Amino acid sequence: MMRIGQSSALFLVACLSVFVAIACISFGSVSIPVAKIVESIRSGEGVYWTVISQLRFPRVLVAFVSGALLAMSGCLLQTLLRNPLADPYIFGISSGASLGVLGALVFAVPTYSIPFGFLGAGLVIVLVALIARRGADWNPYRLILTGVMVSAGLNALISLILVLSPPNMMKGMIFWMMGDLTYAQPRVWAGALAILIIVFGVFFGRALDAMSLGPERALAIGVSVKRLEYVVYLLASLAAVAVVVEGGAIGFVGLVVPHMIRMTGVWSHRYLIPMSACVGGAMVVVADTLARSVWAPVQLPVGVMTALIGVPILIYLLNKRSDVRN
Amino acid sequence: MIIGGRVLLSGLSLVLGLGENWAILGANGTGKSSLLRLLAGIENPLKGQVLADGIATTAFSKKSLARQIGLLPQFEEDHYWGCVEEYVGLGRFSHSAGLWAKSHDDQIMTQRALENFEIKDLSNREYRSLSGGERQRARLASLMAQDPKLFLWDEPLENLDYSGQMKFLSWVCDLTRKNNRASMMVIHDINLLSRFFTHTLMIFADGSHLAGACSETLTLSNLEILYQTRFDQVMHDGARLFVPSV
Repeated sequence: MMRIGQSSALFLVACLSVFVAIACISFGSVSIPVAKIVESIRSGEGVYWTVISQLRFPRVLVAFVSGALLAMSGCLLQTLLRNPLADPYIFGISSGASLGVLGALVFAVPTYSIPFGFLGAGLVIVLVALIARRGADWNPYRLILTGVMVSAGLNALISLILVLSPPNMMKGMIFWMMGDLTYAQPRVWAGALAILIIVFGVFFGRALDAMSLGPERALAIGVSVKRLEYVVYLLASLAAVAVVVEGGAIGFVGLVVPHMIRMTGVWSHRYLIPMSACVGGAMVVVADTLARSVWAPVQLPVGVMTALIGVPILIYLLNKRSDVRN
Repeated sequence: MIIGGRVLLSGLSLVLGLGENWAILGANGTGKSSLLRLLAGIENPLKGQVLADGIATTAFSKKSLARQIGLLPQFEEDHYWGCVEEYVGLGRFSHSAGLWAKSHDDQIMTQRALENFEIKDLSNREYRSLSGGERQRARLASLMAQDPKLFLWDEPLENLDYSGQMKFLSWVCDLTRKNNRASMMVIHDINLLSRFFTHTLMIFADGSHLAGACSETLTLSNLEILYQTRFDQVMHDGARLFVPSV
């Protein structure tokens, strides 16, 4: 396999992902040629301008930020738990947020769905941390098992809400739970959080690298392990919440993207985190573009598309990787 | 301290001086590794404290403590994806002032450690792809790069071949004597002791211990109590060797 430096790989991926995002503005139920995009941006008026500024651009932006947050969250959790199967929803955060949002919808306070989502997820974050933290240190196994138990319990409650909800609301709810950006709005806090995590990843990259040798060795090297673990847990959880309350539990991005990048030979968190943001962002933008155009005017849940894209890519990379190894 | 409900190592009082090279001997499960973890500030003692230059280790930040006392644990988790050079460079974590840049010193110390453990030609190899012995050399090199005042090694000879063991032990000898560092090592090979070490700490199964210069502590009766095994004493080139008798 051709090897390029990690920094040039980051530069390449960043450029590519921005290009992909811009290209996706032109696709949709009405396709807009790139020349028209440039023209309408310059003039700032016309039908195309309305479509771009009111519909396409906000949609691409929210998709990109969601993907970036999910991929970085997954990357941080895989390091924190030292488990390749970790993803942003492993602690049941998405279940907590879903319970809040769906609860608000069913009990007729839909305008408060986002605060309720935050509330539900926040409770899960605190609960899991409190239960798992009772011993001397963050034991990854206890943390994972606690999270899986909490989310199993919450999923039961979610099923209960779905069963008891009026039939006309059910389809929308299921749609949302699969991950759906149709009604999502770009939020300043989500963007700020994404930037914060990138900065964190760049500055604390070496400490995160050391964490992959386990807490004991990281401590002996001089890493303030406990503090770092708290910050990582909090950032990764908040990133997941920020996505779920807007667009539902978009699956697969957080699990797959960090692996995809590691398999290309990038491993240092200083590069891994920002690259996860770029690749995750681009992946959700592409998935969302497909979701709103392949069956247009019917919109599909973006979560279905991320899985359909992610699965073959990861399987391909896994096979290729084992060839290189042997 | 308590491990698994047992009190290990009570009433231990020990002063380590620069230039000293200590070996820790004891049967399995007597608390040798725990003692090292305690000294490195990874675990806290139930009673008492660990002082470095007269200051309690709990008063240090993790980074500044790692510049005073460095520990190479026996085990670590295997999730590191980087190359050998970066792995060894991780030892410099506590020295880098900036979070991003590697200083000139960091570069030099890393290169010197790679050369010393003869893994310079493996610099760009993936750490995970190394053999057990090569990995062990990279691990030893990372503690060399960390360059603390007190080096703590938990069974560092594991996986090393004989030439590697001899080179490592004589390097530690030089390090303590010429560079004025202190070293403490968990080791099971009693016949290497008098050649390379200045002091011995024996930890007995009943929790008692014996510390002192090698010449005083290394006796047939002490070793037989320590390991609950009979030994034969053999003289070879004026040195006493101990062979377990079957």
